[in-house]
Amino acid sequence: MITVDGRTIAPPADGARSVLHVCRAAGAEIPAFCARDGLAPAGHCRACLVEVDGALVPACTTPARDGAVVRTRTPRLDGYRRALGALMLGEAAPQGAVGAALAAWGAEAEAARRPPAPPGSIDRTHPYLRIDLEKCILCRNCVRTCEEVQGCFVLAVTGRGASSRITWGPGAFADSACVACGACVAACPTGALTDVDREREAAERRARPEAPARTVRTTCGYCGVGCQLEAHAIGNDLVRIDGVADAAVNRGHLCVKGRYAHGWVRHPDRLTTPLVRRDGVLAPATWDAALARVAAELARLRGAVAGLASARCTNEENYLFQKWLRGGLGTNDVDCCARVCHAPSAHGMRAAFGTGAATGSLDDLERADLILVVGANPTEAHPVTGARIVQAALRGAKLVVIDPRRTALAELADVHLRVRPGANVPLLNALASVLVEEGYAARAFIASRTEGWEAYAAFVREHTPERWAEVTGVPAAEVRRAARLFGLVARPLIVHGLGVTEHRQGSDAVELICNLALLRGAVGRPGAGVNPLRGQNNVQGAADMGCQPDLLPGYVPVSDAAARARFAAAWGRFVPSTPGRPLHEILAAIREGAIRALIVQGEDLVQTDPNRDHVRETLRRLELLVVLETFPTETTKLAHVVLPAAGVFEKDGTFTNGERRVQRVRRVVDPPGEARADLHIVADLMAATGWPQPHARADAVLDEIASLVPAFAGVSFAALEGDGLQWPVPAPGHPGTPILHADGFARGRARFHRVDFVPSPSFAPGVSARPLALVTGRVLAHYNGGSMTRRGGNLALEDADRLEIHPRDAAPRGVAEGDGVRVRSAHGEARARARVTTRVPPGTVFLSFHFPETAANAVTGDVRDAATGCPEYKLTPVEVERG
Amino acid sequence: MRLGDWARRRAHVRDAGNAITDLAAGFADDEVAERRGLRPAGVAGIRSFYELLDRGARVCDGTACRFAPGADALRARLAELEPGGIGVVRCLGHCYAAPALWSGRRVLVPPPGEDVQRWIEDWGADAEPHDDLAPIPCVALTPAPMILRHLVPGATRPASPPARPSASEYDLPEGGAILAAVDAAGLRGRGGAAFPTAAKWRAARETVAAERWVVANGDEGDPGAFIDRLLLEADPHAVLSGLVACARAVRARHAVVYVRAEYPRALETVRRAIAAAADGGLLGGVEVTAVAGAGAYVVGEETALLEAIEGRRGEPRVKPPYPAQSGLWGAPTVVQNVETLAAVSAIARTGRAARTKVLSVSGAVARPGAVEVDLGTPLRRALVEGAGGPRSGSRWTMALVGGPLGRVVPATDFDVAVDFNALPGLGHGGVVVLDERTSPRALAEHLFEFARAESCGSCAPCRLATRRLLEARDLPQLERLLDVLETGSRCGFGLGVPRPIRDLVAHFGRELFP
Repeated sequence: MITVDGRTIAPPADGARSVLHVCRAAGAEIPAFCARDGLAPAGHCRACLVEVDGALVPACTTPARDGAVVRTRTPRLDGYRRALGALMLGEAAPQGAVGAALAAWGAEAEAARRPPAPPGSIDRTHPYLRIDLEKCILCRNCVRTCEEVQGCFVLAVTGRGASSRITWGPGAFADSACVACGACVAACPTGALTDVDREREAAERRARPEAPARTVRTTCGYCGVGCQLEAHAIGNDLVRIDGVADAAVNRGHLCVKGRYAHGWVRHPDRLTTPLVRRDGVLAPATWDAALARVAAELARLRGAVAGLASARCTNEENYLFQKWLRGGLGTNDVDCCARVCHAPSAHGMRAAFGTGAATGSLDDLERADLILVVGANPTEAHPVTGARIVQAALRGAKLVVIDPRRTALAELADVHLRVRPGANVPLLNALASVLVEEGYAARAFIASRTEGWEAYAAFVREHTPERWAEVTGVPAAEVRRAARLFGLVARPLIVHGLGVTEHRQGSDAVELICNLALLRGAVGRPGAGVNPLRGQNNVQGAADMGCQPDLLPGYVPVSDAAARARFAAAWGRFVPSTPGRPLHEILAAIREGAIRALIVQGEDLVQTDPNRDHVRETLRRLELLVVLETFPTETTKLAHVVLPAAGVFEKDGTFTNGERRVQRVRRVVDPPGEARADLHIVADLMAATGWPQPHARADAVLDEIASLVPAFAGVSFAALEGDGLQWPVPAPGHPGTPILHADGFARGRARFHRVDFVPSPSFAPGVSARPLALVTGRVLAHYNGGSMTRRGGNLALEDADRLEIHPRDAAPRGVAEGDGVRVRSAHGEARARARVTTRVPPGTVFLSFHFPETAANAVTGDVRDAATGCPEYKLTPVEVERG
Repeated sequence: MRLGDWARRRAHVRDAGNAITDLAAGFADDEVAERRGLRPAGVAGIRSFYELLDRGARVCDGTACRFAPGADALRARLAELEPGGIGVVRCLGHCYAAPALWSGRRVLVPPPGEDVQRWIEDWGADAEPHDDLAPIPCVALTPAPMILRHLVPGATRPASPPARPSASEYDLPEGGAILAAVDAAGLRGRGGAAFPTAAKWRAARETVAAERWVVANGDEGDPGAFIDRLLLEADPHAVLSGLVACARAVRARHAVVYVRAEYPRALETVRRAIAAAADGGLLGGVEVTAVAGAGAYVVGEETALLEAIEGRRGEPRVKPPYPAQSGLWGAPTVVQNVETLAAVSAIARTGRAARTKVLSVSGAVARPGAVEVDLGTPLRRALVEGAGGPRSGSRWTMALVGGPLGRVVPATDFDVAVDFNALPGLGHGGVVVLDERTSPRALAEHLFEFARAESCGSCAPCRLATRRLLEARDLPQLERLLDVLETGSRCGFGLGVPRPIRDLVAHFGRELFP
């Protein structure tokens, strides 16, 4: 037992806990400026001294020992704290928690003693961060957070002793390598590091003292990591976002998008009234008029209607949308934007394991001995996961990266396999061949839990690294080195992204990734597995909810009569049995006239689907295009009816992240004007088309989902409090399933797939009139179509799309850094600024697609994944010229 | 995770160097950032921590040099020659030949027997003062010297020259026997902490690990101490054989000899000795690397030393874990002072008990030098018989023993026994004897300045209180600062700073704040 101020408490079960943890558990308030969850104890501030068995020791770095007697307030401690506080005030003018604590100690500085601020103590150059080192007491939380959480190393201590101070190196802070994750601001207890949101919040509080302030936990609406946010609002104004400190997904961490890119919420461009096209012009209309117009047109066009749900919307909204399309409008022609990103992951993993979702959890990143990152740049596209991978690598986990670009993770990797775009399949086969040839196959696992091994082993042996070196562009020795690292560890974890899926052989490559995991028996146990990095906040959920033409909610085929009957009975409607059309076939059907009406839930098809001009021409043929949107987009320009939708902070529901974790989305502020949640819009559309929904509330819809989808049986708003649940949740009270396939695969035995290289028509390295391979993708500051991130401070971080081009390709074309360039393909032309860099290899160029004026998708083409129709965004033959 | 861990992945380096060695070699900050995978801030942080990365000339401000006759004249002359001012360095280990100068690469002292006034007058525009190459005087007041066994006049066997090690010196028993001998000898660390050596070794030996390291701590920073420099320069194989014995006892295959930047000749000697011993196959499979310091007192603290070897700012680590559990690159590591290792070498081969201590004696004595005494010998006997008594015309008033974190012993107490228990703070054994020319206030100011200049700043009490010591206007103010230091400091530096100051208060309180 441990005694704290006379109270006896049990020693912590975890022997590594400190006296500080124990004191806080016992309810004692200990000032501790440099102790912070998630950071290693450092003992810098020495404010947390307590008396343990008569000796004064720092609580944060002293292990709690059974039998210890701790006193947190004694005259000697009080005197020490006052004296230390006076010294601190003689050096700095801390505000925040430190300022308050020093005042509470009765510490007073002799103001005259404070030395004048050295030059460079104040920096306000950054779009978000604000620095005032006059408030700094050198607790170093910022430095340690930058290192131990984000892994960015931007901040350091310079000088020695009395002349120590925080530095970001020479020059303005805005020019540092800071990625604006804001974690240092959250960690700063003095106000020395703060941000524009905090400044605005303080100003709002002063200006509107009577306005109610609220803090609401919700789920981030950007990528598929699913970070938990603490959203702070004053009145109806979202002013600031922090991470939820103990959240399973992000443990308080956030990225520049999740923390800062919320300026769109109150942006004047928001759609606030329904718009209806009259005489060729979109004009404001009432909801009643807009709904009536849609209902009338749908009645007229019945039988020629398709719908696109949104991976940005909630599970409930997606569920209701497909319910309407299937039960109300009688069509399975419903798809979502998963089609253009991770449909191949779902397809390939389903073929191998029986379930098309991550086999493990984000926490497995901490348990893995080796992380194989294939075709993903999580540092920019999934930054909180990226930071966790950096930390794992710094702690000693091996890191192997397969990517044409030298990403931040590639720089840190033990082996970087710089594959030529389009050559994933031969490279993955070559890795497997080494594992087989050199005896790394997990024989017992393979024998007991897989099928197809003998034929596969014989097949893959032929695909040696030497045989494929020329095609993949990766030296055989490097492939062997990577394979051996992978083969030697007990817990290899594979994460992959759109560099795998968005290819002609996207689904095939996913199956090959599954082969690698199966070869090592690395599925169904902690620290191992295959975890696709989901690109959008609810791309997992949209697929789970049946926004796919061939699958009902819970992945039951529409061809399954019994399942259909179950849904038909619950809905009281007929459910069509013919599988519908996926997105690209819907577009083809529009061109052919078979589909004449399209309802789009928040997707900017024109900007984000490949071959922009073609898409635009296609949509122009529609007799009815209804778009539910938050902002005007390239697609709303073509719409007949635009319905203003609420954003992620303006509604209730759930999202499902990339590790199958269903988490709550909570309303923080009211939507602007007449904008409404998609759930309510869809419910109203259903009512207008003759199928009123009695309980058009998110919780009621989720209950309906739980009653129909076995994996959601135990999911409800109440059950999701806190960190949510990872499906399957087969019954109420079930704790969820962090790791799939632990005891058996959903399909019985997992299957090895033999896949040969079928080069994309675009794969023609070094020849043709378009010799450069264009890869498109995201950058840190922006998100997909950019409608949210381009409206706020992130624009100051990155104000345009850039074309990354290798100096060796830039020089002969006369392209220099910053030059305007045209990127031409067989389909069209994009324009961007050049960034001349060796991050891309010679022969490959990279372009982001966040700005409509760039028109990146005017260039991308029609090649698609054979199995799922996912476009080949990651390979388009282009030529680049200055101008 | 720390800054250097980023670099660690790229350069898990033993010989390949790190950011500190790059900066010492003259690379620009941005080049170092590129070479080591660091950000500009990280490089700036490292550069600003180590003062001798700046190769300018400096005058020694160690205790012996600061209070040496002629020191004021030297400074005045330097001010004439360098109107822009000249930096200081805190102890070059030439206390017995004070006052000393640092050219940026070498140590310069007045030629033996020559008056400082004549020395500085001789400096012309083109005539550069010459190096100190004279040997350090060694005396034993014990019948069987252990540390100075090869160095005292009349030694039965002189020290092996660096390039020609004697095989018998490296003829060591197996590891368990070495550990048992060191345990039986009752050896305690000679660097200052006096921690039982065998206990530390056992902890490292018993920690499960793939690799282990041993480190010879040659960062002899205490002004007034020069025994480590003496050993590294004059008897390097005694140190190396002790290091190999230590490695064998704890089952380590990697060893580092860290030599402070202020001792360039010691570094060069050790490098030659390592090469010769390795060529002769005498290192018993232990890979030994010499690492140069860059100028920071706190690096003498063992965990700060590990940080420095790994290429970061030399700030002490949080303990636990102790180095024996997790040291260099996370491996169990034993850090031993150079003098301790010289003792280990003798103990391992002869099984002798460790009953002596070397004092580095300087200041107002007739014959400054290294004096090995039996533990328990009265300090006065060491000063009179070992160092020849007071310098002519001098009357002793006090001595600074064990450096600026040690003790101030008034002359009236010189009968105190030289012993870790009777004289806590004996430390590394530097003794700077002072006379009436040095007031207690002057010594106090010297200690205050030293504390302010050498605090690393990692913990708040030390960073904040050391800078205020000089400003204290009365005893209560001073006591408050000392209380904060003693109560809250993170490492032995802040905890030790008050010790000699409290002695001054106790014995000369009224003279401190006249």
